[in-house]
Amino acid sequence: MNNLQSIQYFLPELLIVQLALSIIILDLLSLKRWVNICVYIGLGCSALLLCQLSSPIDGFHIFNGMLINDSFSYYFKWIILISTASIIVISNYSKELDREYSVEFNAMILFVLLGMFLMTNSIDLLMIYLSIELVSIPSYVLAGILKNDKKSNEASLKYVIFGSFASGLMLFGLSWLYGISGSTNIYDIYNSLALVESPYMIYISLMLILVGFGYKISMAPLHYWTPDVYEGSPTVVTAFFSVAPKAAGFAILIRTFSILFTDANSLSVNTFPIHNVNWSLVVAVLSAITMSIGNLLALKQDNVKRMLAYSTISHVGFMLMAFSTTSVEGNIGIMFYLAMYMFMNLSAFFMVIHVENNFNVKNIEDWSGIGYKSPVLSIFMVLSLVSLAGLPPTSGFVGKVYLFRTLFATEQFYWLGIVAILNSVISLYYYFKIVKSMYFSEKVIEEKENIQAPVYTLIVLFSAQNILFYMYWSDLYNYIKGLF
Amino acid sequence: MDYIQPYLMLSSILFSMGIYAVITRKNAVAILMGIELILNACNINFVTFNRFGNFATLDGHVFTMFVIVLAAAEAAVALAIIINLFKNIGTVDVDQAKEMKG
Amino acid sequence: MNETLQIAAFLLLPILSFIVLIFFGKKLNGHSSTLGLSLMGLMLLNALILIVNAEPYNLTAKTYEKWSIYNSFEWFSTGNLSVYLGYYVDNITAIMLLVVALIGFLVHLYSTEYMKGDPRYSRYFAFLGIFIFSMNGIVLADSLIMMYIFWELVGLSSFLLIGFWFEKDRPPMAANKAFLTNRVGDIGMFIGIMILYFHVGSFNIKEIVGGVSEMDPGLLTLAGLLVFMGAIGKSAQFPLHIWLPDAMEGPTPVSALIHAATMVAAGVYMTFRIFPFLTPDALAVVAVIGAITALMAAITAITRNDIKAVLAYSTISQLGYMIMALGVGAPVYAFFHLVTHAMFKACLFLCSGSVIHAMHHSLHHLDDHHTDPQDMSNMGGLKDKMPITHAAMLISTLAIAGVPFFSGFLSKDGILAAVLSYYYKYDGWTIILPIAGFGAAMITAFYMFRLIFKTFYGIPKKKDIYKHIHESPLAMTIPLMLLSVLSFAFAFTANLNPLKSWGWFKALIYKYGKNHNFLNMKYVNSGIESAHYDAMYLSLFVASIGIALSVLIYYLKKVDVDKIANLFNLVGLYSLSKNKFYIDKIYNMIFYKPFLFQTRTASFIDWDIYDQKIVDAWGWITLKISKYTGISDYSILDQKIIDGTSHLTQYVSTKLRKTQSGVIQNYLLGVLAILVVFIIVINQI
Repeated sequence: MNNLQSIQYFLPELLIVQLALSIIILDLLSLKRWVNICVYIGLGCSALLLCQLSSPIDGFHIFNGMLINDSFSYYFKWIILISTASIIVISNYSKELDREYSVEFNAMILFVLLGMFLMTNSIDLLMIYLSIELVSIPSYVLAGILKNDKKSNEASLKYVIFGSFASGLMLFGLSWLYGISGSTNIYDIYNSLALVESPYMIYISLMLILVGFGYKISMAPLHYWTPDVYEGSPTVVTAFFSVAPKAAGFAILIRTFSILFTDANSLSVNTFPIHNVNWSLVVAVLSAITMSIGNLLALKQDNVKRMLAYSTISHVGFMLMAFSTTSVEGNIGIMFYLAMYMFMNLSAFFMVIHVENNFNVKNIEDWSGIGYKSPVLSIFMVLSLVSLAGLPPTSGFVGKVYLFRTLFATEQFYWLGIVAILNSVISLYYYFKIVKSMYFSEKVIEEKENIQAPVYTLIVLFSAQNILFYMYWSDLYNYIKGLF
Repeated sequence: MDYIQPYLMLSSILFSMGIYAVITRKNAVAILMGIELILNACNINFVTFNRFGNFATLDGHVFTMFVIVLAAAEAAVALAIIINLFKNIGTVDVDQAKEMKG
Repeated sequence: MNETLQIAAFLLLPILSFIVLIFFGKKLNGHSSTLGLSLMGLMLLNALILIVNAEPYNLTAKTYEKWSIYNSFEWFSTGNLSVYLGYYVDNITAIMLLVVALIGFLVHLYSTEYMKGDPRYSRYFAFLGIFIFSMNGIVLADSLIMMYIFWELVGLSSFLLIGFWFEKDRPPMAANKAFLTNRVGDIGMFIGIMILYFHVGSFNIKEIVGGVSEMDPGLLTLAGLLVFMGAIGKSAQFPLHIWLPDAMEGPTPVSALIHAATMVAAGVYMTFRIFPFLTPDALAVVAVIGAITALMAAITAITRNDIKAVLAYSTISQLGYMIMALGVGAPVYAFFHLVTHAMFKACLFLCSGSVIHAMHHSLHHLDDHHTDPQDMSNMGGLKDKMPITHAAMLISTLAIAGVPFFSGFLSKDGILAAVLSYYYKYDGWTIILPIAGFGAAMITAFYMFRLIFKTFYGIPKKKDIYKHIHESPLAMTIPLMLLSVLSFAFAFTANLNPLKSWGWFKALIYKYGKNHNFLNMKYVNSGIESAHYDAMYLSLFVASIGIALSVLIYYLKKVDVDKIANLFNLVGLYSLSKNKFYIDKIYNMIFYKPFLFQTRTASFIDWDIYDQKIVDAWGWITLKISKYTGISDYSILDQKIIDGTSHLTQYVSTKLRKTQSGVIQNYLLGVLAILVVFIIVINQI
């Protein structure tokens, strides 16, 4: 499809670009008070535009084969849009952020949003690289947006060095892939790879590309930046990093690997790794390492944000477990889990923001007595934590069941299943450390709780799904199944 | 020269030098330069493959243009962060930035 | 859709009450009862509409098709497993819903006064809301799995309500005891449900009834009894009845609602639903358990002095009647007795609550905190001070004693007739069933009148307390009056004879109990009818003996109590009754002592945590079976494995933390190292 025809499939992204630019202009014209309204209306409109974009799984190749618009990316875009929009709403109520830079903050988030949308769409090496960079570069700035905070500054420094190093490695891998195949479109590359005799170069470039994607989803051993950046960044930004870029990272990982490095160049068939390059074993091993590192290191954390960072790593490990089966069911399981993970993780982070705003606490011990000070929200926080730990009666349990099911259904990597079950047990401990601190320690908190309606509503709404999807998840699951 | 090997060797050497610099240099700016080396190694790869591969299009060259632009953008952001680091802790030694760990 | 909405209202209204009160209760406080009350009123109205829609049996038309509405929704499905949730409403359901709604409403009304001034006033009504929600869930459930879910919810809400005054010592323990004892039964129930599911492939009760015919009879007996175990726990049958007397630690209206009328009846209701596929063997076990319970609890009740304890044991005894009726193949009478019992027992409990309330206020007035307001030996002569309570209690006592013109007579008569016909049919050992039935009937009449005489007649034991006794306020007496009116026979039928009579109630339930997978119900029913007159005369006879004895001993005081006690003690009956048949002590011996001995941790354990030990002992027994080697020490095993794992993970965690050194270049080095390892190693494989 040529550029002009493609635009009709590209409207939400175009609107987001418009929005980001126009709020910068509004700021220049000293019309700062319009910025928020503008952002809300703009995001609402792009959601409306997104509604009418649903496509079949084979999709439309747009912009001369640079991007694809299919149902797979459509689903991920919704996850990304919902989580980003809720972050933008919450950011207005965070005391940590500097009001002076709110416009820059919003603009950066919108650029990241655009980048993440492109990540779900990319089918060209160039677009893969560009979209990952488009997400990364504003993210470095977001991590360091508290200019005078040492930790924030350190976080952004580590992030920029680690990020550009990882994307440099990935680019090297991409260049080799280009050299092998002579094309940048991944469908064309797939056709050329099938003719390659020695899989050795494919394997090296595959590993280098995995570095780039793994860094985005904080897969071990590329998880190193995650705890430091999460701890140092403002909590709103941490919440943002923990969901939307992970979803986008998984989208690009699944799409690229399923199309490039498997026997069939399609997302909708079960398949095996190309040329017996056993990368699914690599993913399985890395998944075991990822979840173990995430859970084991989370045990000893005092800082809530740092603990949640490790928890994010462990959840990524669980999702990689499903990915290692290289089956359609695995991908469905990941998409299903991501939806639930988004809600439960965001509600936990929003509660952290709420508590930080009101009681000015950072460490888990400081949470003592929150359960009595803020009773309603605490109940929902407990619900989210139970869900994160993957216990019934919450959606986290349902999601995990599907992840495990795909693993056992494909009858490979049983050892990985055992590791994962052990890890689920370990994870109970540190989530309940927060619950214990909230309810079973006696500390009198003098600060009065100041409830902000949007924060309150979002926590309750996002947390309520833990029960909702536990009771009734078939529709969502069948919907995702129907996408393929 | 009509052989592809010297170019690939050049790019590999550059790549290795870049990684070496990133890992060993303590100065943040030097690390940044190491990253630039890695990116340039990739650029050389792209151009080389495009030149010697008898490919129909100029994808590799175009790719290189984009990488150069992105490298500049990345460097700008990274330098800004490093300057801010200098303002905050008075040095650009990355070893000093290890408040968060464990 | 309209119907679904109407049915859903039975769940939505109480849960709405719960949600609103739990979150906004503090703000509403005084008004929380108004909210709960009005929602219950709506529910009662809804139940009345439903029962008007219910279709009675028409004698002339003789339609045997049952009126029912049902619907189910897929809850989830994975692979071959699909689980549906749904409701099934027929006449029985409609009557149960009406009973729950009516008693629930009256208890709400009563509690507005009874709980006045309690610091957790709104919390109390919230708990009542969630209880009624879960109770309605059980009643509406069309599948065993849904019933099981609400079954557990009922257990939970009962736990909350028994332990409502958790500042005191005993309520939390009683709540724990109730919860854990019930759990023992529930485990059996769950296993039974699963056995049925794996053989029939459905949780739906109707489908199970239709599908069990291919099952092995032995296995079916086992499955039926396992499911019935749930009823043993919830309906406080021997040997799991020990929780119910303790549960009286909860507020008295709660006892009336949960431990007399609704929750304990859930076991009977559930057995009623699964009755068609219980094999004759299973039914015999059911009947014997009911008989033992009925007689034993009645004997125990004689020697109780706590007014609520008498009623608690009386409840157990009456539940035993219902279970026995189910066992001998008369589910209709079991259900009839369930409804009549719900009315008069709720009335009795609320009356006792009224007395306790009055005593409590009087004691409070005197600043006396040591005298037990529930002890009957402190009462006496309250008749003049509390006329309404007295009248209501007398009427309901007559009902429970089985005096003609009162509702208990009708239903109890039916049960006794069924028991007698069962004996006529099978002979032999089944003689114990009528003995237990009629014996318990006599004892019931005796101890209930003992309660009346000790409380309301005679001279007051303590003059100063008596002086400050006042009749309870209107909100408490209205439920009493209403319930005592419903304890008259004419509330259910216009005739004295329950078998020939034709009241509205009979017309509604006539169609039930006609089908059974193994028994010819036509034959059973005609047997009951022929045994009816024998049973009626006998029961009248035993009831009058019981009442006469009671009058002699407690009203006229012609016979000395101690002498009688000594007389009975010749065969050990008195101390058996006084010590509640040593059941608590037997459990102590069987489950607790050996455990102590084996684990050598006796010094850490005392009587107080005995309840937990029953459950632990089960764990220990399973452990013992699986590890016959003699690694018996549960706690050491526990500590070694669990704590050891925990230490290991903590240790690994500490070591792993060092990899996260905080220096960015170490991170990059780590990435490269692992990358190189992977490229080299995995590529070789």
